[in-house]
Amino acid sequence: MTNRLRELRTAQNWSQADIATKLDVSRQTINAIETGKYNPSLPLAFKIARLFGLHIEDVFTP
Amino acid sequence: MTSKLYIVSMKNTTKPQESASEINRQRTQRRNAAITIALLALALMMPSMSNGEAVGAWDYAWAGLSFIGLMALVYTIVTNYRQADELQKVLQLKAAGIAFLAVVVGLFIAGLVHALTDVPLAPVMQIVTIAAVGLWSTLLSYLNKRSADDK
Repeated sequence: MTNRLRELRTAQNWSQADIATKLDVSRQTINAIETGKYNPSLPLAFKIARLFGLHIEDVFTP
Repeated sequence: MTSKLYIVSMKNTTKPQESASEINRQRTQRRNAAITIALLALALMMPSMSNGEAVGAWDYAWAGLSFIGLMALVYTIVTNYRQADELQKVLQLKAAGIAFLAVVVGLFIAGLVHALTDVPLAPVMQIVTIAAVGLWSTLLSYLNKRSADDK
């Protein structure tokens, strides 16, 4: 699964630590999602999409 | 207009910063792990302290201390798991699963060695325990490093 997390994050000028704090996860998790090493759970994927004001399918692509 | 080359070079020079809460969590985990390893090492030494004679009050005291070491290990594992986020929980369960398999195989081999030779069971089980905890820690470190690499 691919995602636009890095693109969306840098557009907001947020660091990985910033977004990790907003989502209540570790920076390691954010990095792993951005590099495609880890696919988030559905609740976390929805939280990420909601954070950027987008639909989940606009952020994650199978 | 930014070129791809510029973005790549910026990525390589910028070191990611952990949040304060994450740094505190990692510090607490390292402290708990150090205390647990010390208590567990003490607990594993306990059977060697026995003088082989009839069980006395000191033997019960040593057994109690080794139980404290075991409880410290359980407490550390449970606390770390509860504080972990979803990726860290997945990594911990992966490492624990492989270490559990190693313990099962190790205990089976320990039983065979004890049954077929004069080697006493207790030292072999101590070795299996130490090796399993070492394997678990090594696996966890490796899985954490692999998920953190920016490649």
